[in-house]
Formats: sequence, structure tokens, C-alpha cells
Amino acid sequence: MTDTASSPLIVVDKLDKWFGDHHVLKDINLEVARGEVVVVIGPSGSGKSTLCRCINRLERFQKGSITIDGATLPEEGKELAALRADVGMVFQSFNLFAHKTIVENVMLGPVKVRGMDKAAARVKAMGLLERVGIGDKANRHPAELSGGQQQRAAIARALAMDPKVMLFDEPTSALDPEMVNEVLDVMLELASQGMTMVVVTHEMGFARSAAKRVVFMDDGRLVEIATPSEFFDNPKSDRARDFLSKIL
Amino acid sequence: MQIVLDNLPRLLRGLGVTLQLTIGGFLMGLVIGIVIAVFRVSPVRPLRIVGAAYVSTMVNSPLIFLVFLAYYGGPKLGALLTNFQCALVAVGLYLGGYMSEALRSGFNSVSNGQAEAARAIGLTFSQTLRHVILPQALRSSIGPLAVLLNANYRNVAVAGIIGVAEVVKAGSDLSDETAKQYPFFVFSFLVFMVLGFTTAALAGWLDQRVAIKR
Amino acid sequence: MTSLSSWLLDVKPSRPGELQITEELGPRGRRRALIGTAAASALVVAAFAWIIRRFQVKGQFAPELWRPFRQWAIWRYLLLGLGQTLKAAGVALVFALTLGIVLAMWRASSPKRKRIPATLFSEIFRACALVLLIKFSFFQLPKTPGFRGWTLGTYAFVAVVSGLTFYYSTVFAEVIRSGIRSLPKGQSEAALAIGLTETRAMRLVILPQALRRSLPNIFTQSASLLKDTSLGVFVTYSELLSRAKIVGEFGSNFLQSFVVAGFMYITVVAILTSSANRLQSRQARSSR
Repeated sequence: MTDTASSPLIVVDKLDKWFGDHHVLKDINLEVARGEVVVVIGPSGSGKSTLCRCINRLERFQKGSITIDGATLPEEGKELAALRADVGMVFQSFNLFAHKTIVENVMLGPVKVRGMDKAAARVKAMGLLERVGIGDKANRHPAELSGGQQQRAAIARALAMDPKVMLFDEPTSALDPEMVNEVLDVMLELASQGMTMVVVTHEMGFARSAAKRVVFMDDGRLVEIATPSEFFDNPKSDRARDFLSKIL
Repeated sequence: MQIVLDNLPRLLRGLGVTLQLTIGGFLMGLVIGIVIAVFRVSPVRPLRIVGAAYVSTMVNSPLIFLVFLAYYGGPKLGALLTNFQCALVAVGLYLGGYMSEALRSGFNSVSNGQAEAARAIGLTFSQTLRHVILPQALRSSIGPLAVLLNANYRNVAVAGIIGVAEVVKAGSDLSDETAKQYPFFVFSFLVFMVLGFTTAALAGWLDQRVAIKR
Repeated sequence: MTSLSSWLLDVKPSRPGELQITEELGPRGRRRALIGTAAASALVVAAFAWIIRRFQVKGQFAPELWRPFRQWAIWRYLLLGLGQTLKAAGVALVFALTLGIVLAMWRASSPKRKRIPATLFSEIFRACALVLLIKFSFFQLPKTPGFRGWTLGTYAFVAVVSGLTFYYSTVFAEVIRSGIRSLPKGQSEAALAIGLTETRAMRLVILPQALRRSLPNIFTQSASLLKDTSLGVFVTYSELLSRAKIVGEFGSNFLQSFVVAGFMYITVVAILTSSANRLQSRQARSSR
């Protein structure tokens, strides 16, 4: 037990991915420890979203391997589905199921994947919705909610699976500015409760306050890994300096 | 007016035939349409090609051509069908092509993000299909399918050419016999009006009940 | 081998923006899909083989049944029929489109004296069975003053064209109307703001844009119109389908003559439907 507790939760080993001829991920090596929050930043097209999507194999990769909690990522089928159930994912465009109410969105996974009975799943879902602050919207449909509320519902949907790790793929990029903070607050609270998180984002404030490490990517490569203070105050690579000078 | 009432039984029998052809053809078309739509959205290219070939054959041939093919060509291949069956087969095959397109467009109205989100919470392929894709795809298909059903009432009138006495044929036979055109013309017209409104209302009601707010 | 199997199995949808139902396949998924392909292909091949077998068993490949189609006279007869088909379709298309544009404009305009008749006309003729309209015109025309004394062929032609015109004008009107409604409100507001009258705003600003937007649907409906010329069979209009039937009766080779006519229909109509699809995807691309 002590052995697994000290081993990293996610190991990305020599990962390469091509889209056709385009080499989008080049020899990526990354370990994420239990309870660690890793923020991935980089210019658009740097491959950071693709890396995030490779971790639960929403994107396939051609070379290398990814292990989650000691188990190699399965190729396909029920095994892959079972692994994904343990990896929560939050998308840029929320992707709530349009034909289901908010609470049904949150219940679907526990009922169909975990085999929980409906009443228990509803209680759990309501608890999570309260936790992200939208308990009163439980019976609405996604389209009736604001972007910020939808994204919080999407976080609740992912949490309902009791994931070992949460992946956030630019969770605030599609939001109106005034709604960004309500989502970041939920994420900060999750981080403080010890959730393992991989977050692709442009929110440097979040990176500074919540990240244990910052990963900087450019042109499909992992250029720099550092603590937030090291990275923001004293970036080592030219590309990171260049990137920071443009956005800060 | 009186002349229509006098011949009402025959006209109503015609209406019965129209309904049988329409609904029978619709159901047959639905089965074919589902199969072809599955072919067309499958990852297997040969199946997609077969599906596309079927659709372009049906969508690009006149319905009456298919009726003739079944009626005059069928017996040459040893298919001994009644006139009604010939019409039914032609309508079913024809609608199958259109329906697969309606269903396919329903599938394509579901965004990729929906499928990805379903996979991401650990649903298997068949669960994703059953709980997320199909419910949304079928709801979006209701409108186009209702339009097809509505057009079908009038389209099946081509069966009259091979002597199937649906409502238009029944009416025009009576016009010939009584040498009166207008009453029967108006009668068929009213029948189609009523059928059309009923279908549209039914589809609207169904649509409302299952509508997805976007 | 890999390139063959990646050709056989492609999870990417045929057009961008469509739903990708299956995710990228793993090795097991590929294996299963390949087995499925083989099974399904076998079924399709078997279906075709069965049809061809029926042809053979029933002697439908006999040379004498196909021999007529080695004669120019037969081809000429059928092609002239195709010409008749295209003539009726072309004339009806011009009338129906013109009338359809007027109906759409009137329905979109504010004065009641235009809106109400246009709406009535549309709703009435859209609910008619086309067969009924064509037959009705065919039987009424010779009795109508001013239309007496023509040949049967002319009556048939006029009946087909007028049936198609009445019905399809309402179809086109509906298509164009939805094109008008799809335009942003700002277009007509801007046109009125620069001082155009409502009619001129419609003609100069709204209609051209609406027509462009509805072009794919206009093509789709023109394909239907072209197919519906075959209803001319009901009134002895001597178009492609009636002639194919006559050829079949003459040589007692219905299947063969319908196969030939079918190819002609599919080729000609496919030109319209494929342009509709091309326009549609071009518009979808440019609006993204």
C-alpha cells in the first residue's frame, strides 16, 4: 500500500503523436503525483490540449505509453471505458447532454457505469450540485443555464464518478469573462481538497495560486517544468520568456 | 355534393387503400432507412459505398418508374405480386432512400462533444449510442420524417397507374363513370388537407413533447 | 495491407462537421470491424448474385431481349422521350420558379391584399396531389374556351407543365420564404434606413441574398420536379417513361428497357442532386 501511495498516479512515457504528417506531440515525458495539481500552459497549437486528451485516450497516440495508477492505458473496449470512468474530464465547451436535465447528466455515469441505484445516484448528484453551487438548477436543461453554471454542472458530472484524477481542457476559455471566476473557485476548492488535477488553461492567476508545478509546452514539446514561482519569475527557456512577455 | 355522398363507400375504400399504402410503405421504408443509415454512418467504407449507392439510386429515380419496374419487371424475374403489393414494394424501397437521409441528418445534428463526453464518463460504445446519441438523433429526425409521411399520402397516388384504387384513382374512376369532375376533385383535395393537418399536428405534438432545448 | 485496411475502415465522417460515431479503433476493434465488413459485403454480394441468378434462370440475359438496344432507332426513340421529359421540366421550372418568387415576395410583404391571396394559393396547391392536378388539367383543358382544338399531345404537354407549375410554385415559394426568414433582420433594417421603399428593399437587398441561400434547396426541388415529369404517363404525354414502356411492350423486354430508362433518369437527375449537395457543402463551409 505504501508503495502505491508514493508512486506517481500518471506516468506519460516517451509519447509521440501525429495527425497525418503533422507531429503534434514529440517525446513527452511527465509524471503526476497523487494529489498534485499540474497546470499545462503554452501557445495555441502547442499540443497541450492534445496531451490532455491523450491521458484518457480520447486521442490515440502512435508511440510511447501512459500509465494511470500503475495500469497501462487499455487500447479499447470495456477496459478503456472502465479506466475512463476513473478519470474525470471537463471540456472547453461543457458538452452537457442536451436531452437530459442537469441532475440526470450527473446521474448517468453512476447509474450506467457504476451500477448505482437511481435513488442513491440522485442523492449523490444533488449533493455535488449543491457543492458546486447550482443545486437549484437540478431540473433545468443545459441550454437554460449560463456558461459558468453549465461548466460547474460538467464538473459535478465528472466528480460523480469519484475519479482518481480530473483533467481540465481549457475549462474557462469558452466563458464570458464575468463567469470565469465562479468556475475557477470550484477548481481551487477541489485542489485544496487534495484532488489530483491536470489543467490546461490560459488563467495564469490560477496557475500561480493552485499549481504545484507548471508545464510549459511549445510546438509539441515539453519545454519546461517548474514550480509556479520559478516559472513565472525566472523562466529558463527563451520560448517561455517570450510567451510570458506576450501574455502578462 | 350528393354525388360524393352516393359514392362514399367506394371513396372511403380508396382512402383505406391510400392509408394502407402510406403507412405500410412508411414502415417498410423506416426499416430499410434504418439499415441504410447504419451503413452510411458505419466506419466500414464498403458499407458506406453500398448505402450511398442505394440512396442515390432511390433519390434519383421517379417513384412511378419503380412502380412500373415492380409491376412489369417483377413477373419477368418470377416475382408474382398483386398490384397492391407491387405498389407497396416500390413505395417502401423509394422511401427507404429518403428516410435514411432523414435519419442520417438526425445523427449529424448531434455534436461530437456529446459523444466524447459520454466516452469520458466511462460509457461503452453501445451505452454511448443508446443513452446519448440515439435519443438526440431520433428526436431531430421526427420533423423530416413527418414531412416524408405527409408527402407520402399524395405520392402513393401514382399507384393508380397500375390500377390500385387508392383515393385519387377511386375519385377519377368515378369522374369517368359519372362525367362529373369537380366534386371528386374537391373530395380528394379535402382528404389530403385533413390527412396533412393531422400528420403535421401529430408531429408537432410529438416534437414538443420530446424537444431538446438548445 | 495496412493501407487497404485503413481504406476499408475509416471512422472519420465523410464530411467535416458530421458526427463521428465510433472513436478511433484499436486492434481488436479493427479486427471485429473487418470481420463485420467481410460478412456484410458477403451479404451484399449474395443479394446481387441472387438478382443476377434470377435474370439467368428466367432467361433475361437472352441476347434477343437486349438486341433492340443495339439499334440506333430505339435509342433515338428513347432519347427523344428524354428530350420531352427535359422540355416539360424546363418549361415548368421557369414558370414555377417565377411564380414561386412572386408568391414568396407577396407572402413576405405587408399589405393584406397581396399576402392573403398568396398564402391561400400556396396552401391550397401545396396540399394537392400532383397526379390529381395533372389529370384534372388534362380533362378540363379541352372543355375550356380558348384552349379548344389542340392535338392530344399538346393537351398532355400543357397539362403536365401546368400541374407541375401550380404545385412546384408553392414548393419554391416555401423554399425561398425560408431563405428570406434566415436572413438577419439587420439586412432589411439597413435597406429601409438608406431610404429604400419596402418593395425595393425586398427586390434589391433581400431577395438576391435569399435566393442565393436557398439555391441548394431549389436544386433539390428541381430534381423532384424533373422526376415528377414521369407523371405524364397518366395523361399519355410521350416522355421517357412512357416510351420505355412502349419499347418494353413491343419487344416484350420490360426489364431491359426499364434498366436502360432507369440509367437515363438516374444520370440526369443526379446532375441536379449532386449540384445541390455541392452547393450545400460549399455554403456550409463558407458560413463556418
